[in-house]
Amino acid sequence: MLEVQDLTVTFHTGRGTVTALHGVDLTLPTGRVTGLVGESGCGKTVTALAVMRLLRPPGEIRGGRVLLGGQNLLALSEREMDRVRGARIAMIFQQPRASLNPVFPVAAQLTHVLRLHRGLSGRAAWAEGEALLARAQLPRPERVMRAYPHQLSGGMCQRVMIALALACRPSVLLADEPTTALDVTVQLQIIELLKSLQQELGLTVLLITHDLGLVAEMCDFVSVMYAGRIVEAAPVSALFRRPLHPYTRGLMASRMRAGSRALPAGIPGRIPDLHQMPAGCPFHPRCPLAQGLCAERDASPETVDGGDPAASGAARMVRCHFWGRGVA
Amino acid sequence: MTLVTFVLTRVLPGSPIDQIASPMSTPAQRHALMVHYGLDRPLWEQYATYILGIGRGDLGTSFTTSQPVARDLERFFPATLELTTAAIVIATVIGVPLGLCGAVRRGSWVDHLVRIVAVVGVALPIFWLSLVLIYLMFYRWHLLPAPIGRLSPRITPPRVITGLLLIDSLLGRDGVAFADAAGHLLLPVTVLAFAAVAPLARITRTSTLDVLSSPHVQATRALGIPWRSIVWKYAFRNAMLPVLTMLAIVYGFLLGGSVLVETLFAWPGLGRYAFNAISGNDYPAVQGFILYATLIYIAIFILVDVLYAVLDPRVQT
Repeated sequence: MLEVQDLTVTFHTGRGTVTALHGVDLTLPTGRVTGLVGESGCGKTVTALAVMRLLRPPGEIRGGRVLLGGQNLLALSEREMDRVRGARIAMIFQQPRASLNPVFPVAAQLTHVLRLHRGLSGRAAWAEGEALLARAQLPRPERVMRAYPHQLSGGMCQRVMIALALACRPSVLLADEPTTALDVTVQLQIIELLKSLQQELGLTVLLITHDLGLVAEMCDFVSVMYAGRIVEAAPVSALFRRPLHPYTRGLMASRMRAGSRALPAGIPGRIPDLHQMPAGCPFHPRCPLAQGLCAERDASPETVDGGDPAASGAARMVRCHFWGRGVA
Repeated sequence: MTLVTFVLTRVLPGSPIDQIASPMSTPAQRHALMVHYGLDRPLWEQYATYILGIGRGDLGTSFTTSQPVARDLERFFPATLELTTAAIVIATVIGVPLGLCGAVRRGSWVDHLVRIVAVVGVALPIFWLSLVLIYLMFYRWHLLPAPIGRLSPRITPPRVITGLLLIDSLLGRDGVAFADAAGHLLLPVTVLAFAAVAPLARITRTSTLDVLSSPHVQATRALGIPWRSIVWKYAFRNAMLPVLTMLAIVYGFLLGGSVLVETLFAWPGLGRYAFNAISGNDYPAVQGFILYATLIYIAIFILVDVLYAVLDPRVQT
């Protein structure tokens, strides 16, 4: 299990310091897929990078804990962290081609991580590399090993990234919009691949996306993020059946539905500028339920009984003063 | 290219005859000289003759040295090659590591040093630095031989093999000549290298910073590969590509800068030859020099392109 507790991240900019993550709590149950959804710029990627300790200045982790098997990753030295990255937690990125070094063949990094984390020597590392590429369903892995990123398609690059990420048998995989940059047909293939690998290896996955369809398809649990805060967390079935937070309801209403002629309803307004965060609940300027209290004070996370026997009584969290109103 | 040079040299004020003929010569004598050098012909005819000559490897005859320009250039080229190559090697050896350290330890004292060097290197004029160094190292402290030419007059030059004195003296196992040649090289090379360090350090720093913040470096870090290997094994190679281009540009700049430095240090190279040719309205010599410099420039860029093809798999060979 990977647990993120009260994670706070700030960025120093020319216009002052902004808080990108506001005490984020996130639980990734072992062997399950947890989705993290929200609009662009709400802090999804920053969360994943902070967990990996990959934030570079001006980003800075200001507080919180990231617990992997009871160990706080934020307290590790950089050298200790290098033994966690790739080996126990791996990450794949939104831009698969840009994530591969253009002047090195695939084999260079693949054999490097296998030597580094698994102690394989030259020939064994090469053979294992080919096996990993084959497992990521790349045709003719012996040729892909010698290929440079520009000779591969976007989908192939993402398969290579998946092979690299899983090379050293991590237990946790952070997938940051792994299909956003790919063609629709390729997206499906990559999702199928991730699903089958997740089940086969019992991976604990954090899937960052803004595609609610993908969440419904792949995830067991989902956390909804808005302006650097988790506003709702629930089992997927419960969330889709009965979204509690007005923001989540807005997201649901803005989906395109097959077979429906109604246009999706957008959420009015836009995400707040981090430099000028509204007082109180950051969503209140856009919220249909907002009242005077919302502008004064942010709600604290509230644990709610799902009230839903199908969700096996799993607790869910919502962060809204008035979530009870307007819920069907 | 040749046409532009040809026209430009003719447009410049002054006539080569003023330089060749003695002040006492009669108009008739002057005219005879004009005819001798073909300067009485229409311009287009002069140009045609010149172009046809180039085809045969004949760049004309210098008015001032009375030697074929091609042979002059060949004779003076090694001195310039030795000077500029030594300068670019030293500038690279200093500038690239400086830029790398500045990028890797961003905000450290090395980084500040890089930025100071970059500003100072651009701001200090070459001639001023040359004069200060000559004054201190030769005149005041007598640390170096007189800043005239490539060797002291009392030294027997080594047998010419490459034309580069350092290499020829080494091949001839002539320690005395080597030391003297090195002593003569030191100041002009320092001056040129000083000017070249700045752009090299700056481009190295910028491109290294770019690469270190790129998505692929982030992805490599996510695999647990230590920062040190990322910088030296992976990022270094990415970062060197723009530096390579800058090296070619700087080398071209040094060829130009050598005109000033060679004049100041009485260095018998192409730069001084070109300077004398321009001040003497020596058309064939100026044209020959520019043609030669262009060819050197093109050769350097071809070399860089070849290196690119080796270093960057995206370049199709």
